[in-house]
Amino acid sequence: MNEGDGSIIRLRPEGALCIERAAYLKSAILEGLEKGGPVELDFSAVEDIDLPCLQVLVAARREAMATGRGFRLSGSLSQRVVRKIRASGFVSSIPESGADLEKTLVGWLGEGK
Amino acid sequence: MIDKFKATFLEEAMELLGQLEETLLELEVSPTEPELINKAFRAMHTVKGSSAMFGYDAVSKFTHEVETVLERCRNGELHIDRAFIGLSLRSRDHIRRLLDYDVPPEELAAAGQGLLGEYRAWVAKASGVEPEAPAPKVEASQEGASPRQKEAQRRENQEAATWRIFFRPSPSIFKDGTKVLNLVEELAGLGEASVYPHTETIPLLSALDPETCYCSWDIVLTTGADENSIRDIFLFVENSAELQIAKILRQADDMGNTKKIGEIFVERGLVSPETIGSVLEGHKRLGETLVEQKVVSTSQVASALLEQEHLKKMQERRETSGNSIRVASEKLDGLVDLVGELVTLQARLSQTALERQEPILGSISEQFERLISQLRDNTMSIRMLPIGSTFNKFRRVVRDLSLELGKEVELVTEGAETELDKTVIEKLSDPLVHIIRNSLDHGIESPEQRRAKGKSVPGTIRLAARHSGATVLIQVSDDGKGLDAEAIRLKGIERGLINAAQELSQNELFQLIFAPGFSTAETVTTVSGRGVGMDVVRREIDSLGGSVQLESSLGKGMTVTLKIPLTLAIIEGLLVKVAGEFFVIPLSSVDGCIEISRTELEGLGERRIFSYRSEFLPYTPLRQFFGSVGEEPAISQIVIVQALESRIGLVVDQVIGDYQTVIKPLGRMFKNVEGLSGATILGDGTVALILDINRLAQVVQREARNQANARSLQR
Repeated sequence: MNEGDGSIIRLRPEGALCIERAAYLKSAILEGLEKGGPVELDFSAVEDIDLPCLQVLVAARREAMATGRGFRLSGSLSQRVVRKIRASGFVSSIPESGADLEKTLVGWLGEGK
Repeated sequence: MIDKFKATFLEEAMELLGQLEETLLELEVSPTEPELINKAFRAMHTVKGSSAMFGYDAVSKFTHEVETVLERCRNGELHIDRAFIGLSLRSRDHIRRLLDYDVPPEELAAAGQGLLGEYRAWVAKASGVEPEAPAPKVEASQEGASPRQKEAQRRENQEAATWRIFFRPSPSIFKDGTKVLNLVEELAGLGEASVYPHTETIPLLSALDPETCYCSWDIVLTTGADENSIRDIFLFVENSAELQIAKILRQADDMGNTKKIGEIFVERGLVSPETIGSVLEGHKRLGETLVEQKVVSTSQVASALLEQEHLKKMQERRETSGNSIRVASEKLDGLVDLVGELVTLQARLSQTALERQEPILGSISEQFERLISQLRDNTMSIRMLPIGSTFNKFRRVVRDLSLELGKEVELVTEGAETELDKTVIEKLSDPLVHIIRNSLDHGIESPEQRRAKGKSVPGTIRLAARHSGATVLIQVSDDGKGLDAEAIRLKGIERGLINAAQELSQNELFQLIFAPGFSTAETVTTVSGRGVGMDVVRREIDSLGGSVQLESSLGKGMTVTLKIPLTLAIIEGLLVKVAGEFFVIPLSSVDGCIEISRTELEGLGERRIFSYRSEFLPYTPLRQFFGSVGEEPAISQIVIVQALESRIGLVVDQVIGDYQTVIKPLGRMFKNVEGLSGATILGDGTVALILDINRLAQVVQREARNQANARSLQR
């Protein structure tokens, strides 16, 4: 198990995480994980998110768990992001930050597998 | 006919505005809570829609503009802050005023424009854009909400059903540019929804195709919308998604139990009834076992549990709201009047039965009496409302006032569920506002003063209600500076209310603040300090047959306790006779009775002080008080009553006994008669007057004080 040099690889995407950016997000996270991670995705500048990128987050978490690496979420969440993930049932309570999101995001902790 | 609907509309609009106020105040505390923003939006939206329907164009136009701003907050474009809440609260008040008119007067329209201008300025500031020119006029009923939202609104009033919807987009759905989350969100917007996404098919990141949709949804939706409206949402994805819609027929069994998880699995077609049966024999948790046996996945269990929870929630909601009906309060008043007549008639019946000595008539009368008393209790309980409905009003008062005065004050409420007669609650509202304003202005110190005193900077006003026998105690306490007995004493002397030589207990001094025009505030603010207030409070509470008590400790705060009878309609009274007339003394204030002969009474002389349980109490002969003529009886009774924190004696000719009685208000002509609070009709049809004990006590105490002063001057 390669832990890399242990330094965190931070990703801080800006604007809307829509379908056009799903492929980029995937490769960026994957690249980080392959370098040994842990990878941290900072939500502070994310204004909106759509299903393709949400899927990437869950898949990244699964990848990280399967390969024994770290993948976590951080930063505060914009109201629009909160509304989106709440309305579509991905969280049951209201998350305020990426760290909150990790606790409640459906599929994050490996349920449903 | 239309007037009838209009009345219902107005009633509902008032209720919605009440809700809106409550929501806005909650939003001020948690401005990012999406549910609250939604709630405010919905209230505004409903007011808009129905006001347009009933021709309140000014209202619908104004609310439309406000709604547009709220919509932007809901979308997260604008962030709610204090200024916005303040503005919205004022807009709420404006809408409330607009509803008073079919066509609002000019100045009101101008005020509305002013508010809208403030909104534009706020939006500009909040979004960092220059204020735009006045918004183009739009047809209120057409714009602002999507047809779908309007549909949802319309259907909310129809009978709601619960639907189970399974939605599985095809893997290639992203390629058509479909925003899947928007569809789910829109569906959830049709009503109350529990949404569960299945994510178990999402692969590892390395294996993920970013342009493939892996998720599917179980949605349980309670809505008034029909199946077609639900299908309409998926109209454009019909060919690229699997959609199953089924109505959940039974939500709970006759015993009110919610659905079993096994039933949900069977209905969803995931598990056969036989499997459920065999698993249940194993006496293990069904969900766990089925997962172990790989019959269902954990996410399917989670989704079924969510459905169960949803149904339970809906059931509870039906229980609390569904089983009630709205009745005009006049009808209820009419019912209470009729019951009152029955009680009176029943009293006559039992009196007749007693006189005639007929066993059959006597037994009928007794049975009748039992039924009537049940009927009376039931009718009274219908009029009972939780006092919490008025607490929100006080929240607003505290908010607005503390902003105005630059103080930080938190209102804590307790016992909002305490029930009281509707009329009493209505009449309590103004006095309570007075008391709270007083606490805020005179009691709670400024933040600097509090800091200097080592108190927590935000002051607290506690509003608590609880039952205590046939009365309700309502307490308003603050942690402010408390009452300064010495300052009150000096002010009392200055005003000529007391004599410098008089020694008064702290309690008696506190009573002075109820004197008309009394205020120890050094400065007069717009809020209080003008000396109107506490005397008004006392008068109002007296008129309710209640009492006011003060407790205070200097520097720590004060507590005002209101003791209010549960109902105004019926009292337990002591029937007495004075010079051939009947009077009723509220039994709750009666302490005891003693017999006294005319010679003894004359022996007490002009000082009007008698000894009772080794205490000297002032008394007043009611014969003199009411100016009755005729010869005094050889033996009288003194009824000792508790009033205004002290006891006094009332001399009557004869005490007849306890008497339950229906209170009839005295006509307007008798409004200013001192010492009477109402009238009642006795069994034989004669009228008895109900004594206002607090007012009587005031008069007696005033006289006693004057005499004491006169004596001290003579010395």
